[in-house]
Amino acid sequence: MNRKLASIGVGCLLAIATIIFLYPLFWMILGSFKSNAEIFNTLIFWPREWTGQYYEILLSNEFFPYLTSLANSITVSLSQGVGATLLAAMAGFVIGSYRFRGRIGLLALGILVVLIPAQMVALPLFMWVNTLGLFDNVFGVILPGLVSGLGLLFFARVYSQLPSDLLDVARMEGASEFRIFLLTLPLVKPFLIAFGFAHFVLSWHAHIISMLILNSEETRTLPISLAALYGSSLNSPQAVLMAGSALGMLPLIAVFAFAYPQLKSALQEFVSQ
Amino acid sequence: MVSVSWAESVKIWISSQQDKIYYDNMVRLYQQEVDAGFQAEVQAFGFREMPDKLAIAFKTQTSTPDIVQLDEVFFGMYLQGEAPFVDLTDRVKAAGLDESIMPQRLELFSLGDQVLGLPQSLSAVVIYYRRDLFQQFSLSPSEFKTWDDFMAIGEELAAQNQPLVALDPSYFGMLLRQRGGHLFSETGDVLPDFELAVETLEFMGELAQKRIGLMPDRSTIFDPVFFGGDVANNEILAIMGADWYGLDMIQQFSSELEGEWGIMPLPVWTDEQGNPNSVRTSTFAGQGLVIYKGSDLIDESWEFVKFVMTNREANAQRFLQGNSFPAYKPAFEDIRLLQPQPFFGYDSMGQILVDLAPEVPRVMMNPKRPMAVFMIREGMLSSVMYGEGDARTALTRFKDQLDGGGGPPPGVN
Amino acid sequence: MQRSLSDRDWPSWGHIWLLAPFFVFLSLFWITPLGKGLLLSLESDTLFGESTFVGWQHYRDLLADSRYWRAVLNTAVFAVSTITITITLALVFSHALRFCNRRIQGPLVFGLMIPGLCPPTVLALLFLLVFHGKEGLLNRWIVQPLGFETINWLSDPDFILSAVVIQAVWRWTGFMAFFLLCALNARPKEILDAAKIDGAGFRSRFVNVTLPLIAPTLTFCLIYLIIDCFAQFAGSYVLFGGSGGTNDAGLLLVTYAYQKAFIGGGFGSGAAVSLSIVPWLAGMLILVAMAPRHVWKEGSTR
Repeated sequence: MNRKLASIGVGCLLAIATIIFLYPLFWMILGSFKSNAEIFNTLIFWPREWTGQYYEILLSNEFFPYLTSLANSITVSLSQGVGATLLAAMAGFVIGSYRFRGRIGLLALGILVVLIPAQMVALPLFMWVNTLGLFDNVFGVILPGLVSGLGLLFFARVYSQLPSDLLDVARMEGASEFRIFLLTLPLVKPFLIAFGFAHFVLSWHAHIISMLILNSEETRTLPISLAALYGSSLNSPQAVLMAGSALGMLPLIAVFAFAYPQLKSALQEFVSQ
Repeated sequence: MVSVSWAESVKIWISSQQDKIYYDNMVRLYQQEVDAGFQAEVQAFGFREMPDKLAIAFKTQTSTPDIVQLDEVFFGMYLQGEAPFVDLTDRVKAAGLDESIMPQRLELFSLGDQVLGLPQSLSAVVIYYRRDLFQQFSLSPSEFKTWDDFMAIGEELAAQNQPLVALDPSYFGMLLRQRGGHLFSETGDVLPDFELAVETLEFMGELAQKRIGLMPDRSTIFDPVFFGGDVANNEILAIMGADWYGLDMIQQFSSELEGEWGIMPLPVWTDEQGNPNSVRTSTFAGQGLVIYKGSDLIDESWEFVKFVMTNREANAQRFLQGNSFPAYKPAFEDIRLLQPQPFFGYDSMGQILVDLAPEVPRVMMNPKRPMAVFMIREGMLSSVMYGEGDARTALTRFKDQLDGGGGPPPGVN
Repeated sequence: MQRSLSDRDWPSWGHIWLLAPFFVFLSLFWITPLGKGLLLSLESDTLFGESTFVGWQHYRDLLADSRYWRAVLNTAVFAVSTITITITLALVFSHALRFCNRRIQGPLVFGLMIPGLCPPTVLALLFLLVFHGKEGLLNRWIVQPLGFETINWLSDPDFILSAVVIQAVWRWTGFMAFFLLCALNARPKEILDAAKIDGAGFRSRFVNVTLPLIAPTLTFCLIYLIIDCFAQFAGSYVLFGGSGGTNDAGLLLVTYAYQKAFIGGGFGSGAAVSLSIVPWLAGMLILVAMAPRHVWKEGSTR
């Protein structure tokens, strides 16, 4: 009885929360059908007429090549999501599972990077990427994003908690360190996926560095292209911005839809280990 | 072959997609009329991003553009130390532009006696009023001769719970300039006419306290929500704004009020005897074109800039596409700019602006100007409104912060 | 056996190869620019042309700058409130989510994460409507029904910082709930069952069993939020466009660094503000990293 009441209460709480949290998505989708005046009237919720014209404008590349920007964003975020997770897990494995001289120093160095506000490094990083000849090149954005101090800290923690029996067996058999690292991957799969997803999202919205490095329309990522549409001369329909952003959510939904079930089944394994 | 044409193409940076369309057209027009071999690459970035990107480009001297379209408010930002823009003084003289462009506007894009950019807009300030609501309250624009009249009519309206005007922090600078005051003196002093500034801010405070002026949300009339809320709900009868404000924002965000707007000059200030002692307009912001000093294509860039500034069609299109009214005097005679506009109830914005043009006040450029405008916009008025000090305290703090910590110390380089 | 490595041993080549990619990229793309940034903060604010070496001048100016201290104070208040509220809410949500039907759990989690997934430019527009002083959603649906006067969230200096906190909480609660849910699900069942059999109540199970088990994730969440509060610009930028709001009531350290560099045109003093954030941040991180250590050691499965 008590339990039933509790679950009703929980259900209500979650329902209300979800409405509050889902609001921007609804608003954005509805906004992609509204005129500028409608978007900025707080009292209008539904669009006056359902017209696909703003999606047509968007996809007709009148303002910028939408699909190119979208593809660039996917390339950048996928490479960073996978790459950063891998690099951080490799380093985190060593730092988290072993004790050795300089271990704390390395960890501190990795975390130091996290502390630096992006706009502070922006200027020198921009010069440096230029020197490397990666200006206006997606690699100029991808490569710096492969390092995540937060990821290092996260995986160091994860590995320090991993039961060591299994690894000891492999070690007895004389497996190389890299091989042992590969063996641990299935064990920490939920953490890999969770972190990979978080990093994917962060790099999807990354702004300052991409803005500086990606110059031409062909290399720009979605947020950069959309930002050029926003807040400029207000003659451009903001619904196009909404339409672009709404469609831009699809890859995020896809990545989540992929990650979530994996995460759940992986969690079961983790628990039963 | 591709790389050759790349090297020769003039890079033009602007801050909006809408203007990109304009400049793409102008490049085409220039190719048709002047130089068929002219190559240009027009790039648009966000309104706030472009200035940021430009600062980094200048600081690092990499991937710099040749021509930049900049708002005067951002222009000052790049003047810390050596100016990164080509000194156009001699070229302007040689082309006779010092005669044909409104001198006050040319001065705005100058530092000392160097002309560093060409102004694209007159940026004369007028009052946009609601015809329908004026009629409803039996008001006529001719009643607003002085700011005293304005205050008196405002009080009557306030008694009926109807605010007269939207308040915005930018009015402080506008009103101060209308009265002959300045944010910076020619020698760089902050608020050289301090008492006038105090009086002006107190005047605005009075408008607010008597509920004659309504401060919109976020205390700005430049937010689209201002139109969706306060304007759409008939909460205000008038807004003060520059030409571009009426051409761009009002038309765009209150399109359903077509025909209900009208335009009138600002009321004048009076001396103690009640005699007018100010002009009927002021000025605020406005775009200009500058050329990067390190460009390899300075001559090509200059020819194009000159073309955009002086070509009849180029000036007309900027107005007709809802961008701005030109500061180039010969364009004042273009009949297309003087047509009555249905949107403004068949008032001719062009005619009113041409009449006011000689009265547009001067503005002294200063490297600290962007920070000053920013500080005014983002807090000075509101802090008076929210009772965090009176006008004098707020302005003293403003002056101190600009003299000291608010901006980089002068003369470091 | 490598296991027996001690603090005095150097890592083996096998380890170095695994560490190398991360640290090579780190030095290449972050430490090098950081060094350059440090040099920049010692140079004059010249934007174009030769700048001169001014030593610690910018840092000395900051110490005497009242706006800087205002920014420090605001940032601290902002960070502490945001983190406390977000983590508490996220813990509540993640527990609540475990009650849900497995099939709708996924969509619910995703729904909660939406604010963190939406593009900042769209949020910028949305916030204008949510925080609107008269007809804003917050006023219309929450403040007025509760019988209060409408609040001008974005210009009343008493409420500006609250608006910044609200948007940060709203953006990140879902994300944190997601991570905590993963951590809760990953708790070994035997340990939970054992605690139940021992007759431990919810509170005692939470403090003694759950907390130590989710400590690594909790640390991750805390650090994520600390970094967002101190170093990420997005939140306050979308609300105030780089300003500090009325009377600097919402001026954060990152905002101030932005103003110095981009609006004042002084990259040297901007870099100094940015770098001055590092010790503050490091202090908070050390607190967080140290505090739970003894907690999770006890609960560790090892």
